[in-house]
Amino acid sequence: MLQVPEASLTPLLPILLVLAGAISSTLLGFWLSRRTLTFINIGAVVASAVSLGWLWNRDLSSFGGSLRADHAALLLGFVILAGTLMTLLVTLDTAWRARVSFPEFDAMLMYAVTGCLLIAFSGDLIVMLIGLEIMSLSSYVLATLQGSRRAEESGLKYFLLGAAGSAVLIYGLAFVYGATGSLNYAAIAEKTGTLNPDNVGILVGGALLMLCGFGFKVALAPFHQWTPDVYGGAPTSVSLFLSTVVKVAAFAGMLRVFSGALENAPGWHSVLAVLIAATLIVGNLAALRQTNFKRMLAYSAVAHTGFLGMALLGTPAAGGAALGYYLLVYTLMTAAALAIVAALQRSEEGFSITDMRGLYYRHPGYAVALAVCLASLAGLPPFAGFFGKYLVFQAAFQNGYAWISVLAALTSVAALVYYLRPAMLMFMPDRTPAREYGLGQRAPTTLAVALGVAGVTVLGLLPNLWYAFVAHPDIWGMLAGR
Amino acid sequence: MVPTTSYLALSGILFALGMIGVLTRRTAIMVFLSVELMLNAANLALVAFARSWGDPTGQTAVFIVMTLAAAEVAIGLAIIVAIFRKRETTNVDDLAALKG
Repeated sequence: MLQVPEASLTPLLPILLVLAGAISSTLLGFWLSRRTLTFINIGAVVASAVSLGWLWNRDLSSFGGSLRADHAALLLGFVILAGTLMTLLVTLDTAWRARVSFPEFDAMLMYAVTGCLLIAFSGDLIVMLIGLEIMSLSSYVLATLQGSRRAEESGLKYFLLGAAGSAVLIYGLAFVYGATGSLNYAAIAEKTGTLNPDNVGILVGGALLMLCGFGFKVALAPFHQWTPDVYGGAPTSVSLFLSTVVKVAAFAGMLRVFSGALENAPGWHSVLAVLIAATLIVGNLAALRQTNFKRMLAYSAVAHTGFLGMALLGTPAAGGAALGYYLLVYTLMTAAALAIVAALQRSEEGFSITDMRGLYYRHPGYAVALAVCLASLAGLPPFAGFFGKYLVFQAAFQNGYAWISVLAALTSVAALVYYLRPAMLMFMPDRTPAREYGLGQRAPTTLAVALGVAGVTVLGLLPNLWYAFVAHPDIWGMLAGR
Repeated sequence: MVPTTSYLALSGILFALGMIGVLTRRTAIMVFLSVELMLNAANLALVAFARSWGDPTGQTAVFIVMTLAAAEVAIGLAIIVAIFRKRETTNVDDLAALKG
């Protein structure tokens, strides 16, 4: 007999607030300017973040456990909203130069965030899939929206590879359902322990297909091919959004599915370890030979997928805490670095690394901020990137993946070279005329950069400000629910 | 009654055909059609599994996947049309400005 599930909308509140922002951009776009709508959306994002705080410690769920506002969801939701806030601040200044300053841009952005939050709050595979598709479809549009040849090329590549990735993921979902007879994380986690041997093969196949599908979304090698083209070809503010918020949401989905539902499923750990090893090598080595700074940051995002993915190799308790910490730090430092590129670039191609020579003498504030971000991305000690890397290395190491930790440490050394070279060039004197946009330094972007730089510095000196929240022992043990 | 494995075999063949199409076809539309084939392979697998478990959840999932596929068509064709208007081609090999 079918039961009517309880359909309480309270746990959905943060998602509904963001959705309200998206719908208001869609409808009010006929009457209001884009700038006004962006302020409305910033308000919606802040209200949504406040509602996350209000839901804290209530552990609500609805729709029969398909939607869960547990601690993990709220923490991941906060990271997503922090990235969104920084994106919106940056677009206030740069959208008109990127020729994307129209209401539809904000609407698509906020719809994508709705999908991102839905992934973090998901309690079963179908809700996760709906969130993932809302996010992906909106991102394809965002990447194309500028209408330039570069943006269209990046949008088509993103769309074709992203759609293929989604199809693989859905096929994997079908097999996980076939093996366990359920789509709910909790039920899958319960049944993976007591499968009959015939179904284990189906489960492993499903898990690996889902891993490939997620691999496309988070840019694990060898599924990372689209990343540099999309991040490099899309307008910089869109690259900022894709490389922070969208990636965080995809990792939230991986955390829910692999560390939650499929925690006891065999096989996927070792395949993920190989994919991560490939990602670390490919991402870091390819970043070494980039001449364009924006494209280098795209490869740095690929390399960071490897570092972030290592957390999934740990036990859920250690790995979830490490990932929760590192995702926020990654969002802050990547968003701040790309915000500076968006402000100072002459065209949406970004600028070449050699053009950054002497940046300190022209834009001292931004140059110092960028140096802090690069040092944090490289994982140098006083900044938060160091502690994040330490946590993920430790999570993988403790769970028996010592070789991955060693490889990650070695590739981090290669990473030092490509992060510190532009940082050093910025402080060298230069007599040639400036090659960046002179009027780029504006208040909202500066605010976003300041948020990012203050975040990585403060979290580096006092990691417990955020780590105390994410390291709470019972959060990550019940990612799938009870 | 047709056994579940037959349905799964057909779904596997459809998925493999779709995958081959994605990897070998050079026209954006054909790549896109191949992706749709992969989605329908997943739908067939979901329905077959739902029947073997005697559980309607898998079939409801198919409705959602179909809706997602429809949304994907709308977005995908819009992107392809936007590109075709500007370049008079949808050959993916001609889109090679971004590399390195």
